[in-house]
Amino acid sequence: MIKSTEDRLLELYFANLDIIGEGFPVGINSKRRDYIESFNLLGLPSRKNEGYRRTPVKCLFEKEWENYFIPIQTSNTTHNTESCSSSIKVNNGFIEDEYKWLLMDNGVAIGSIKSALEHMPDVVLEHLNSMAKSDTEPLTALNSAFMQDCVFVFIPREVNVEQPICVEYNYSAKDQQVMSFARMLVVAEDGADAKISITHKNIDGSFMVNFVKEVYVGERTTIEITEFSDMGENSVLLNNSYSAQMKQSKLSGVNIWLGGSVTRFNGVGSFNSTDSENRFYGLYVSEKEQIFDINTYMNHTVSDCRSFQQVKGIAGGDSIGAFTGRVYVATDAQRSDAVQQSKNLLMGDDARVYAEPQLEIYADDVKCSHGATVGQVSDDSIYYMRQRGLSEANARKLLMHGYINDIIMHCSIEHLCDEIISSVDSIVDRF
Amino acid sequence: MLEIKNLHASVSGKKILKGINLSVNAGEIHAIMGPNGAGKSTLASVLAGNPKFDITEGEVIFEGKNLLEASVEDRARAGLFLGFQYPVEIPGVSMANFMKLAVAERRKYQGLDPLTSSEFLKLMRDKSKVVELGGKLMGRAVNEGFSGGEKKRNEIFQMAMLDPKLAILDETDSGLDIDALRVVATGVTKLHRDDNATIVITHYQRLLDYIVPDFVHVLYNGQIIYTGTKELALKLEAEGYDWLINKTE
Ligand SMILES: Nc1ncnc2c1ncn2[C@@H]1O[C@H](COP(=O)(O)OP(=O)(O)O)[C@@H](O)[C@H]1O
Ligand SMILES: [Mg+2]
Repeated sequence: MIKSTEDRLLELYFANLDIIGEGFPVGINSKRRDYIESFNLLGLPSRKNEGYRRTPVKCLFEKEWENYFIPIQTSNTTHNTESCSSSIKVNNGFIEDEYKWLLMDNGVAIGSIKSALEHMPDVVLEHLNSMAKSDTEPLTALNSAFMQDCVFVFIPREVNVEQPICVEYNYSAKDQQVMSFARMLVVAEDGADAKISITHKNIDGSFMVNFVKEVYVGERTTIEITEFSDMGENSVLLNNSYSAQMKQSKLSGVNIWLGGSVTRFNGVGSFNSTDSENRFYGLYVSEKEQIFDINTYMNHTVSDCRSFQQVKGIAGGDSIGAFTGRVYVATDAQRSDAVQQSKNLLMGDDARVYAEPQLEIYADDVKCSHGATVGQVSDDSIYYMRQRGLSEANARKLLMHGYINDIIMHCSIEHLCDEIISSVDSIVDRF
Repeated sequence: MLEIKNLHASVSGKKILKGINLSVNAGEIHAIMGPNGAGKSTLASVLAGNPKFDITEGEVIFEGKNLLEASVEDRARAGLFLGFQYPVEIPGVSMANFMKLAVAERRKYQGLDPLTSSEFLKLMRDKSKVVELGGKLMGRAVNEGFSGGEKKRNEIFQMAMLDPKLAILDETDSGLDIDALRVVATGVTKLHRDDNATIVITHYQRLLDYIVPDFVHVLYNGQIIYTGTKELALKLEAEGYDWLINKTE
C-alpha cells in the first residue's frame, strides 16, 4: 500500500521522538502528542481547503525532503551585525553554538529556547505555543510537534532598545533537499520598546521551511519587526506568524517576500486588550514561475483597537500572487478601526493575481474599509516621464520604485532596508 | 526653430489634424486658440511624440532635424517641453528624484557635466521661486495630492528646471484662480528669452493679458483657419469663434 504524505510525516515523528524531545522539559514534550494528533486529524491542506487555494501544500510535502534531526555542516554564511544591538544566527533551524545565550546589561536576552528554559523557564512556558494555533492549523501543529530549536527573544519590562535585535535564519544544504522546522518566540514585556530584524536566506540547497513565529506584545509596548525572506528558486517557505497584543500596545510589521518557488505567509494578529494598534506592510516581487500566497487574519475581539494592513505586489513572469486578508470584528469590538488594502501590479503576460480582502463585522460602531486593485504600469505615467527626458526603461523602473517605496519606507532598520532595496532593485531592473 | 508642414494625424482611425502649417522662430510667443475638440491638445501630443497618435501625412522640422522620427525622450532632451493639460501623478517618486534624472538627461544631451548634489539643490531652490512653489512640494511625490493650481505651477517649475528651446503649454491656465494665473503667467514670461520660444494653448484670452503673444492662431476642425496678432484674442473673447468659422466655411 502506498503511504500518504501525512503517514510518512507521522512515521518520521514517531521514529525520532527521542531525539526531537531531547533536552526539553516534560511540560513541553508532553504537549507534542496533542500537536501531532491535531496534525493527524487535520491532515495536510490541499487546494480544496479554505485558505490554501493558491498553495498546493500537500504536493509540496510529497517531494522527498530529507529531515535532519541534528545540525548539518553547511556553507559559511556572512553575518551582517553592524548596527544590531544583539544578533543571533540560525542554521537550518538550529541556533549556532556561539549564539546559545546572550544576556545584555539591560536584561534583554536572545538565544536558544533550550537555554531560555534554563534561565527563565516561567516566561518560556507561559508564552511558547500560547499564540500558535496548533489545534486548527496543520502546518503550525506540525512545527509545534517537530520543534527542536527555537529562537527566543526577550525584552524586559520598560526597556527601550534603540538598535535592532537581529535574527538571521540561513538555510544551507549544498545540493540536498531539506525540510526545516524553524521557529521563533518573542516576548516583549510591558512598556518595552524594540525593533527586530528577521531574515530568511537560502544560501544553497533546496528547502521546505515550515516556520512558526510567536510575538507577545505587553501593555504599552511598541515593537517593530522587519522580516525579509529571499529563498532559492527550488525552495518553499511556509511562514506562520502569530501575535498577541496587550492594552495600548503597538505592533508594526514590514514584510518583504522575494525569491522561492512558493512563499506562503499566514499572519494571525490578535488584540487581547483594548486601545492597541497593529500595522502590517507587505510586499512581494515575483519574476518567474513562483507563487506568493499572502494571508492575513486580524482579530478584533476587543474594543477600541486599530489595524492597518497594506500589501503590495508586483507579479512578473508567469507567477501567481495572492492576497487573502480577513478582518474580524466581534460584537463587543466597538470603535474598531480597520483598514485593509491590497494593490497589485501585473508585469508578466502570464502572471495572475488574486486579491481578496474580506471584512467580517459584527459590531455596529466601527470604521472599517478595504480595497483591492490589480493594474498595469500606466502608459500615461510612462509618457509623462519620457516627455521629461527619461528613457522608457528608466521611466518604468522609477515608476516601480515609486510603487514599492510605499512599503519599503516603513522599514526602520537601516542596514536591512538598504539590503532590501538593493535586492528589490535588482529584480525590478530585470523587468 | 519649428516648422510644421501639412501635418495630418489621427487616433484610432479618426482623423483629427487635417493639414497644420505653422512656423515658430526663436524669441517668439505663439498662442493657439480654438473651441473644445478642435485638436489643440492633439497637436501638442503629436509634437511631443505621444504614441497614441498616428501621423498620416506631413513633416515637422525642429532645430533642423526631423522631429517625427525621434522618440519622445529624445525630443524632450533636445529641448521640447510639453506642459500637460492634465499632469500625471506618480506615487512614491519624489519631485527631487524625478527632476534629478530629467535634468541629467537634458544636460547630457547639451554636452554639459552632470550637476553635483549641491548644484542641483540650488537649481531646485532657484527655479521653485519662479512659480512661488514652496520647498515642501519638492519633497512630495510627483503631483500626488497637489491641488489643480499646484500641478500647473509644477509644470512651469519643471519647464524652468529643464530650460527648453521650445515649450508648448497646453491649457496651463485652465482651472486656475486669478492669483495662480498671475503666478503661472509671470513665470512663463520670466523664462522667455531671445533664444527660446513658447506656444501657449488656451481658450481664454485672460492668459494673454500677462503673456503677450506675437501671433495668435485659431485652430478649428484640425486646421489653423486664421492667424492674427493679440488683438485677435480680444475679438475672439468678445465675439466667440462663430464669425471666423462662418467666414472660412
Ligand atoms: N485618445 C483619443 N481617442 C479618441 N479620440 C480622441 C482622443 N484624443 C482626442 N480625441 C478626439 O480628438 C478631437 C480633438 O481633441 P483635442 O485635441 O483634445 O481637442 P482640444 O484640445 O482642442 O480640446 C476630439 O474630438 C477628441 O474627442
Ligand atoms: Mg485640450
